[in-house]
Amino acid sequence: MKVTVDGVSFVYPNGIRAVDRVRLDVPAGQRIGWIGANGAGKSTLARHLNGLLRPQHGRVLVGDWDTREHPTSEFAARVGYVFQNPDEQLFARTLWEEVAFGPRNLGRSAAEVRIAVAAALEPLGLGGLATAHPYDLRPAQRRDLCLASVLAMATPVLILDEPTTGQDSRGIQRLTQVLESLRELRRTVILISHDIDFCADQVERVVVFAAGHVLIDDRPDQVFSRSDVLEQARVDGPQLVRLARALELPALPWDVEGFVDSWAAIRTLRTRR
Amino acid sequence: MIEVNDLSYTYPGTTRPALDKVSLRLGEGEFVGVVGANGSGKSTLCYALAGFLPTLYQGECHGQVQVAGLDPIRAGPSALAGTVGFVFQDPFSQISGARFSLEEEVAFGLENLGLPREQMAGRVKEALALVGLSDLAGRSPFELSGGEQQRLALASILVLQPQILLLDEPTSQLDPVGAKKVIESVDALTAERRTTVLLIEQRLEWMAAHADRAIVLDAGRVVADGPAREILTAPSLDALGVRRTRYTLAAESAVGRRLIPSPDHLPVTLEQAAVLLR
Amino acid sequence: MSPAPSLYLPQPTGLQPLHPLTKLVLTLTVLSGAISLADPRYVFATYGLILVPLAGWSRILGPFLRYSFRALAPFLLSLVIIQGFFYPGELVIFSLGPFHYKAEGLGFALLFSGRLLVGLGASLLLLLTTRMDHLMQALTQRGLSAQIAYIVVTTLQIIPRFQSRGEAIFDAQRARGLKTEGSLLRRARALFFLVPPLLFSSLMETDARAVALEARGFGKPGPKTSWAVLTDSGGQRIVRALCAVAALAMIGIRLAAVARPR
Repeated sequence: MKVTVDGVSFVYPNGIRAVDRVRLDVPAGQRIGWIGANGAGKSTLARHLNGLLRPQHGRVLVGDWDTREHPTSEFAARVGYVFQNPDEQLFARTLWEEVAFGPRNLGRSAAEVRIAVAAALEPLGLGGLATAHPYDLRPAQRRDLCLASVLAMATPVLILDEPTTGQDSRGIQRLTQVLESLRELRRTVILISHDIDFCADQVERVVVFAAGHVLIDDRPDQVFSRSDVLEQARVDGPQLVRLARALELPALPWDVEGFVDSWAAIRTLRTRR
Repeated sequence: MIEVNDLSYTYPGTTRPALDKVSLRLGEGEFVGVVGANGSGKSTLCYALAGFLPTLYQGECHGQVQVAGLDPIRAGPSALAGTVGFVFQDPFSQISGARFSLEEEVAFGLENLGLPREQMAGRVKEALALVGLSDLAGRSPFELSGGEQQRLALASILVLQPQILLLDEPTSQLDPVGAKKVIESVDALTAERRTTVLLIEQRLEWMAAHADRAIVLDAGRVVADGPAREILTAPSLDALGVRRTRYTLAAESAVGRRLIPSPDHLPVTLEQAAVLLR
Repeated sequence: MSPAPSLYLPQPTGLQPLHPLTKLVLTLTVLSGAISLADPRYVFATYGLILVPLAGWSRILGPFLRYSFRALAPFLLSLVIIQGFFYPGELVIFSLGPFHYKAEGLGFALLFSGRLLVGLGASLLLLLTTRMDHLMQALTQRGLSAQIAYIVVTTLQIIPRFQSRGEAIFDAQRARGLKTEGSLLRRARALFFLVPPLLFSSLMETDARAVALEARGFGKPGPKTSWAVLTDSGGQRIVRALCAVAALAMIGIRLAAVARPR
């Protein structure tokens, strides 16, 4: 499902202009990364996509729905939002009930709910804990549970706000697999993350925000080759992009094998010369 | 400065020990990184050093701990306040809630320790400057963003000038550029004061830039302890839930493919990798 | 984040710069006056001739009047209606079928409302001109335990804290399809999904905060110092002593009047 952000601005009551005339189209099935320093406006804009915030100027469309014309509870069928703080949503006595909450609200049948819950808990390593109490989980597991509770709703659009915070490499591995399966399902994914390497691996497009504006919006390799823009936005590029720059090489791939291949090829060329 | 002998601890209501026969020695001025998967005991180790175990969490505690000549297991957290500074992961719960400006919030710990008022102002100002909050000194702590709260939590501990600083993912909510700056200034300050620092951090790139030494925890046990560069590049980390940097992985791959000779140590940071691959 | 949860309105003049204890004693004196005075006219005069001018002097007259009347209006209305009809008495003013509206009831309702108004007004004046943390600091210096002072200051923030956290939880549940608009029943049902996370996250936070406070020496025995300086003066000490004498005198006279056999 397509998301259209059309000239949106938003000023908080305290006068801070968090989003400033942002224009952004996210086609159906695209995986897009939003990066930028704290306070750049990423989360504020994201809250516009399911109507939690309504634009003061401009408009937001999800498919053919305008966010000003439907309540957030209806947008839940189209946009899944995984928030940063898990403790501000968990209410149920079991993991199973927690994850069933969303699909039930969307009016799914009991059989559909059962399938959706199992399918959401399993890939996050929570399948064996379905009858456990959410509050008995470790903080990182509670975050996984929140993700599962949104995945179970099978929304065409998904927003992940800093999903790697507090996750160890196993958690990041699980997240990677979840994103992989979402790619196969052609879901639209908006990934907000300070973890640039993780983000760069997952998305096909990167938007860099600073002070409520979009500074650049392009393919990841294009964005990460613009060190001037990244510096202006106070964000770092992927580690191996920074290494290539330190070695005074042109921008190379940022995955390990791709980087080593290119690095070796360039070195061979230079020694021959 | 810190001496831990055969320390085991089990949280109430659980059977598996969170710390399992941990032994550790830390000298004055050492900067030590702690890594391990979630649930491996990193935070619990800090709790033990700060005197929270078993005083605040009950549970089973065995073994000996000495911190700056004090016994945290017997003495409890109050006796260690001012000697051991502890910055937790969640910033909001570290704000006292009883002070209505950043300055006063930072001064709160000094009030508790009974520091004369004339000595407070300078220390409060210095601590706020160090974490980059000077401009917000008069603002209410409740109006801060998550990242700013994290800076405030750090300032509130640094102002106490502890001999030992326990940092449990102190910059998880800051953007990378902001976090790097904060860690750099903490490193500079603690080096100058010869503070012993224990840093828990997922991002090994920064840890390696500041830590001389690293320890690895797995299921409550210390499974590796040594020079940071050696420990943080070990291939065994992959199976222990620790994400090695891509500098390490790229160099390892280049060595594996015989593109470069095997170095004494693989790189952890950008600078180390650049030297190796130049 | 919620703003600093406090009614305090800083001003360079008026009551604000006075020592917190002076304002506390003043409030208590006015309160004892409200309880002691038996004539509604005197009670209302206390509000109009003492509290209102003090609020004006402190440049908070607008909010002071607004808050006073907003809090009093529901009481005033129900007291005047219910007491008029049901308070025992003989002087009937008018009748509605079998019910008689009596002057004694009206008098009682006015006296009671007046006392409420003065009580509310005096407390409001204190809250609007005094920082709660400074008041607690002043009391701590007079021997109140630091733990109790801490609890008082933080308890006052529970409501705004719950409010902002409640909003965050509501957002998360609506984003998962919870319908919060529509019938009363539906809105009541929504509370079921709001309250557990609200309590859980608050408990977790309180627990974590208690630990963090220990690590900052809150439980350390021995004298504490203060960042804030509370200025006092000889004049204020005299005012406090006079207020205390006046309050005791009023209460004493009142008690004597009540105890005197009719």
